[in-house]
Amino acid sequence: MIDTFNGALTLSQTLFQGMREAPDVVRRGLTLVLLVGLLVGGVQAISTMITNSNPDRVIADIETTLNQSIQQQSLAATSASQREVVQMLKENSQGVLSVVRAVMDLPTPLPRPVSVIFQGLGLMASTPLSYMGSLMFAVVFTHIAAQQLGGQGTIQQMLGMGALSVAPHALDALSFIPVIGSTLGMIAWAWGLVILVQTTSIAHRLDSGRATLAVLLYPLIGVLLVLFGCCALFLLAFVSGGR
Amino acid sequence: MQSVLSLFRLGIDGILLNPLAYRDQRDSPDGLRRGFVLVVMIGLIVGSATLIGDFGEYVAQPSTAAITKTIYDGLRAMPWYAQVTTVNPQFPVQFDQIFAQVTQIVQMVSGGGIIGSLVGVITTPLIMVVSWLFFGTAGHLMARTLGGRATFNQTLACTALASGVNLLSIVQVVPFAQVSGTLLLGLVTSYVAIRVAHELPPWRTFWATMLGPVILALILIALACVMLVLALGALGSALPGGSL
Repeated sequence: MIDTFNGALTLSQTLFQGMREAPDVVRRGLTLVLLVGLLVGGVQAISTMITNSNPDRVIADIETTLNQSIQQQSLAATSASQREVVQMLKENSQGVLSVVRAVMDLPTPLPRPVSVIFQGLGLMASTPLSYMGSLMFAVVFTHIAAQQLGGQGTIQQMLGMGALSVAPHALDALSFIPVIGSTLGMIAWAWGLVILVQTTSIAHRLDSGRATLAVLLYPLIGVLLVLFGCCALFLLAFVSGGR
Repeated sequence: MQSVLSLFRLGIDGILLNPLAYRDQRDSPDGLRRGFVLVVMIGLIVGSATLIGDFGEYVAQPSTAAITKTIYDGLRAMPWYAQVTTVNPQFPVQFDQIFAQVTQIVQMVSGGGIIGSLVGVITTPLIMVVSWLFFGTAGHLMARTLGGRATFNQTLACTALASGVNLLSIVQVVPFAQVSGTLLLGLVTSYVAIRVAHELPPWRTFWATMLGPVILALILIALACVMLVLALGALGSALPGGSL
């Protein structure tokens, strides 16, 4: 499995060719997703457990987020009614935090550390499935586009090989580090995209251009539809506002 | 025990899209019976796993009634409540009605707690069997229309293997765990099941697979619209004048 992981990260053509012909391509691909998911989920679970074990820190984090949100809304408020709403939010923010604290202080049948451990375990168990959910979206739409562009691969080959694109997301384990965490996430995403293009090219026997198009076709159509919808809404609001 | 383990392995083969397992299932004379037992077994395992997970959540967090009361008291203690009450003396009554409605909706959406999970041990296999029959029948009718050759029994035997995806929901045995990605994987396994059973080309298989989910999605959208209208009506009746 380590060889598969390393081969995926280094875009090893030998690995990709071997996986295309392997009868257990799906098992190998999904095992990689499971391992990366457990690694990332495990680290995130420990980070979450450390944070949640200190209620004061949780409250402080919520307060910071709440204040930032109110600050952004006050900057965006242009009308008197909007400023009134922001003022009301400011006046009640301490009340909201008191409610959160009161809920956190409520007694539970088992001691609080048990709840914290359960939440960490839940996060760890959910992460591989979360990666699989995102992977399925990418694989299904890429496979449909690749078939339309003349690809010859099977869904088994596409799923098993597409799963290799999850390998760079092992970097997500470091997402708890402030500032560089999000940058590493972006790098993992871009790296995964390159692996998906490569694996699509090999699984479907397409050239790089068509493989790139297969990967990007439906996301681009989705973005265009959203943009078109936003424009239509804006025009509708503009026309109805002009009356 | 041996047969339970072999059924479990069959479910795993279904998730892993193993074409040999699907072919064996299609050609086996007792494929339909084995498929039925597999679906019921997965339903029972998932129902029991969910019960254990929900019990873990139940003992690790405060009771719903205590949380509701704390939020109620907290909202009433905030400055906005006093301000609005000064302007509108009827507001406390309206607030109580709206809070009760919202609490009811939240409780409906979040399920029935431990009692709901206990009932789920029985209803989960039933729902899975009904879903299997619905999607199997829809897929079979569409596949036959598009030139498929499998019998109804063969289609159901293969789609039962496709429902092995539900095994992933076992993760709910861990409290607070969330299941995701099974819907699309379920469509992919159904695609493989219909393709192997009917030996159809890819695009025909695609359309045969999609018919059932499209019909179900339309039914769910219609139901969601009805629920939304009912919820808005209930909230509206809580406001003065009986409308939102």
